[in-house]
Amino acid sequence: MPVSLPLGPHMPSTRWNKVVRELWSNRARTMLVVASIAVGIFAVGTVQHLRTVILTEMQTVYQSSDASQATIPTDGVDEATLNAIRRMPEVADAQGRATLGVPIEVSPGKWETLSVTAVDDFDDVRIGRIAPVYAIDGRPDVGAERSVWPGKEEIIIERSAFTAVGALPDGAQVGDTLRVETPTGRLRTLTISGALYDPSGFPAGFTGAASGFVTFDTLERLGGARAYTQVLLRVNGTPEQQMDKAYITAVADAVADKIKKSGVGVGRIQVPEPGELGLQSLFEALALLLTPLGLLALFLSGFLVINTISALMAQQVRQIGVMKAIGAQRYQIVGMYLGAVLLYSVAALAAAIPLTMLVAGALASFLGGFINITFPFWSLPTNVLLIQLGVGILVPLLAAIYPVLKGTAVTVREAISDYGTQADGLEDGWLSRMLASLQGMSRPMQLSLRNTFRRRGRLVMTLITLTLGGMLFMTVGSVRASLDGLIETALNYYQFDVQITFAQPYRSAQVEQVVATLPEVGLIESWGSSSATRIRADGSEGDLLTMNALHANSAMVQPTLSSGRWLLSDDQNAVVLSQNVLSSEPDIRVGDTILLEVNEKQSPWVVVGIAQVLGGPPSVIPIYVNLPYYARLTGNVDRATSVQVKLRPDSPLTMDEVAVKLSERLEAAGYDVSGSFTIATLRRFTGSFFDIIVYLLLSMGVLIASVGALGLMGTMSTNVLERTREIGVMRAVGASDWAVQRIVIVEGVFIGWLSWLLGAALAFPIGLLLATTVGTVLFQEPLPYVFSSNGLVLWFGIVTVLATVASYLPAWNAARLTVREVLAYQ
Amino acid sequence: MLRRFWQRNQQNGEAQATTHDATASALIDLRAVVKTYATPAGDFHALKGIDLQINRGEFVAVIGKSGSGKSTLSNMITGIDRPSSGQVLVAGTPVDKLSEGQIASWRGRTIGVVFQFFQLLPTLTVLENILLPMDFCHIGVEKERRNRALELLDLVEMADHAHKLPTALSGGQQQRVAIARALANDPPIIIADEPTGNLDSRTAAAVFHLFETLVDGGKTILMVTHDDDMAQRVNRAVTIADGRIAADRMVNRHVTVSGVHLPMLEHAHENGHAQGQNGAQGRMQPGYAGQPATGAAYA
Repeated sequence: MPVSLPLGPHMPSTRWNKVVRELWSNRARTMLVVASIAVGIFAVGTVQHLRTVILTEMQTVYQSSDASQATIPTDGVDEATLNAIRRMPEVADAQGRATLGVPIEVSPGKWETLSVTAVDDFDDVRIGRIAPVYAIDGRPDVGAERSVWPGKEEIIIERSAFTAVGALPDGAQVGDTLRVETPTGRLRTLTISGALYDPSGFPAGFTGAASGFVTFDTLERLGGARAYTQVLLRVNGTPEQQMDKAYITAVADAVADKIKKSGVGVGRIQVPEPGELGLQSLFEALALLLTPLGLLALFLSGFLVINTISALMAQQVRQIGVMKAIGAQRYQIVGMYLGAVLLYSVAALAAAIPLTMLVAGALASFLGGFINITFPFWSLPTNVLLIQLGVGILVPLLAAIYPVLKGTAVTVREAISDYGTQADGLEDGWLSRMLASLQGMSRPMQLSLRNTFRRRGRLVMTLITLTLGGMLFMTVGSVRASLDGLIETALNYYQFDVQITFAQPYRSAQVEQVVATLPEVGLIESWGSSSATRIRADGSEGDLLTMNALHANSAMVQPTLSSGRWLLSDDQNAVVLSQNVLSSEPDIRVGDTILLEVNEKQSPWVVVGIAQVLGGPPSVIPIYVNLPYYARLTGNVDRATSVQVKLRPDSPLTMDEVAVKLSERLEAAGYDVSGSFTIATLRRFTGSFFDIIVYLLLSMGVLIASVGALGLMGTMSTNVLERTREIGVMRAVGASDWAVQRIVIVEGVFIGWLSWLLGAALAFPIGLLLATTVGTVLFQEPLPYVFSSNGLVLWFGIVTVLATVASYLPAWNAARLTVREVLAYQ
Repeated sequence: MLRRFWQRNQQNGEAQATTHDATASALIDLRAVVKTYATPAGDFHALKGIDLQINRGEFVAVIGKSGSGKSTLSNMITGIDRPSSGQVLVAGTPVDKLSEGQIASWRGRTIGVVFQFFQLLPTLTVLENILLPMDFCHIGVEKERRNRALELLDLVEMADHAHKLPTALSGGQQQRVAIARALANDPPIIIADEPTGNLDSRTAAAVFHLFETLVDGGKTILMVTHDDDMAQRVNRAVTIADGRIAADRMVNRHVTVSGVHLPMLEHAHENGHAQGQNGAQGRMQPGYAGQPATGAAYA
């Protein structure tokens, strides 16, 4: 069919007319090559885009929120003490808040925890800034446009609670009334005055608990005290000191000392990683993990380009010969084909860049939902654009150079005498003999199998892309299973359901007596607990650690050790570290003696084991020691700083409900509860985070698998094109449409299955490698590897469908060829 | 503009011709050309020591059976293939000494090639197929090229089809376009390999007439054919058999060289085999070889 493209006068020269015309007249092939290039640009661009947007935006949010560099829980600081803190030269600013956890009724009879924070003046929150929001992604119907700061008996709810399942009553909107319970058991109502954004807090999706801000008047009505139970700090110092966690900790310690001197108790100081939001380092690690996968997709897309351009050059042999015969020099022809590749690249860039913006925007929004950050949906960071332009132009050109040089090296004589490639790969090799010896197979089936191996170079390239794509898909299943295994291991580690911590040690027997009054409580165990810091050989201090002192035969932990052993009952100064300690103290080995500062006293401890501890209360790095030795060392014999509780199996209350009730009872009995932690929270927290990892890995797996499918479609199209003559002959001797289609489809499916077989063989070792990498990057420990056969079965189904679909179009084209067309084919 | 274009290229051609005249008496000069192909069954000798001189303005048919070596001979002249030994001088240029890149450029300007299966590029229109050689050889500017291409299409009576794709044309029409393409760079020599082999007799006659017109216009044409009848209508017929020149004879015909009609003498030359065994097969007789190479000399 003649094409209606603009002719010569509009084009720079006739040869470029040819280039453009070729691209246009072979639209299916052009689209295939463009898609092959685009998918590589897209993969690299999306990873880079996510990395740039997420990390940049997290930084922006961090900077604009003036996040607290250290948070000191107190028993209640007054304004005078706060002013004294502000006057300390190393303190840039300090603000006080009060927090209170109250049960909230989310559905009739079902109560969850609502974290309430009171501030003096909503317009003067200088540390950990908060801002009302007037719209919430994914929940346009909450009436956020009416958001105002709360008045008396009102609360402004953190926006993530509106989208977190079960954190608020279903369908809660601005203006609705919430039912909450005070620590003394009184019911109160709070009206939602609006939604706000608090970037410093953990989102409700992670914690499962809603949070909100109220005035101090409201807090008092809820049973809270009119005193600052949290002191938020910004420190003075050089830019280096601002990023130095040890320095910030030292300042916070000094502030805590001042508070203590005023007669007020101080809880465990929280010093987040300086200069970054919570979870930022995890996202950095994730980005690091995704980068090689993006590069793999790019590499495979380069393979597709090589494959397709090689096929294109093979088809163009005669034309190349003719062009040379009429005066074209090789460099001119090379220029034409590389020019064509450049046009493919431009088209691929035009498709990939907006697609990257769309998908990366959607992915960022999706991830942002987890971490309560609104990422800009449509954005195109300059570095991403430059990388995409560079990759989009250079990689296809580099990939095409070899096939183009090889294709244009053909002499005119070879080109003119080229009558096709029908006999290629059909030499009398062992494979041909083996295929020929297969018995009991129909002739068309034999033809399909033999066709598969005719162009072995192309087959190898196709198999590489499809195998790697499938392999990654299958290994993601194993990584998911390994992560699930890790969750179970982590949850299994803690045999308790609820942990209540105290601001100071109390008599264990008395505490346990109060706890036992709750009928849902099964087992109870008291632990000692202190902050500890490693004193290195050079005198510097390590991260703040939480020393848990328990009996060696504790029923509340079932440790998983990555090296060494657990505590023995006759151990003295033995310590088991969590592997998290090693990220900042990588020199420590089992058997080493380390110096720890506990309660301002330094003492040597022998490292007997490294435990695989996942999760736990945020920003806590646990270490474990023997309770009797610890009690003697700290002078806290028979005293507890935390109580661990295991619920009865028939407990009608959830862990969170029990935690709230226990805290209330203990506080009512005069104990100073500094915090609570439940395994349900850990499960939610780790589950949400692992979902992020799995979704990201899976999306890369799907992307790479689609590269493989594109490769297969390209291969099958090229095969059909090359075998036009023999397809015509088959039709001439009576092959029906379906017979021709079946030969092509069976060949495609056979290649798909071959790739599945290779991918499955690689899936176990590569899955192990990926699980080890994911574990090492994110948790400083390889994941406990669980091989998932579900991935194998799923991919077998997918690759069969993909291969059928990828072969169907070429098969349909093949069946459309008439004998007359084939005979006219040159 | 077109006139200047033609004149400029004419001058170039004449300048080349002057150089040729100084170095060689024949426009095409093959000396002891041997071509051997290595095949799985052993060496195959396609050409076994060919000596052949063709003067400017001649219309030569190379005839022979399939596999006789006639296409290999034409490939030696076009530089599409290289001799295993011997020398190929075309318009004074030692073709066998040129690199692939040099040959392509040289061929584009010196020789127009016409193939049996036309070999028009399917995605280019008829007009663009003719523009392409000028583009590759950087001849003229775009407007001049278009005018020249249209004039050539007019010459081959295909101007009405200028914007069609080759697939919309009949075989005869495609071959006319292929001839126009061969003339695009105004080469002094046209080499046609079985140009009528794929055409019906009526169309073949029309194409042949076109060649006659070109020879009348001063072109030198070497036409490979297996059609003896066709060979009777040229002014020289070289018969190839088993890689050797079996016969080289002049045919009585009026040809026009540089626009001047001259009667050609019947000059039968049936000594190929006998001489070939002495290593001098197909060499021109002194009287023939000594004929002036240019039309002016004929005149």
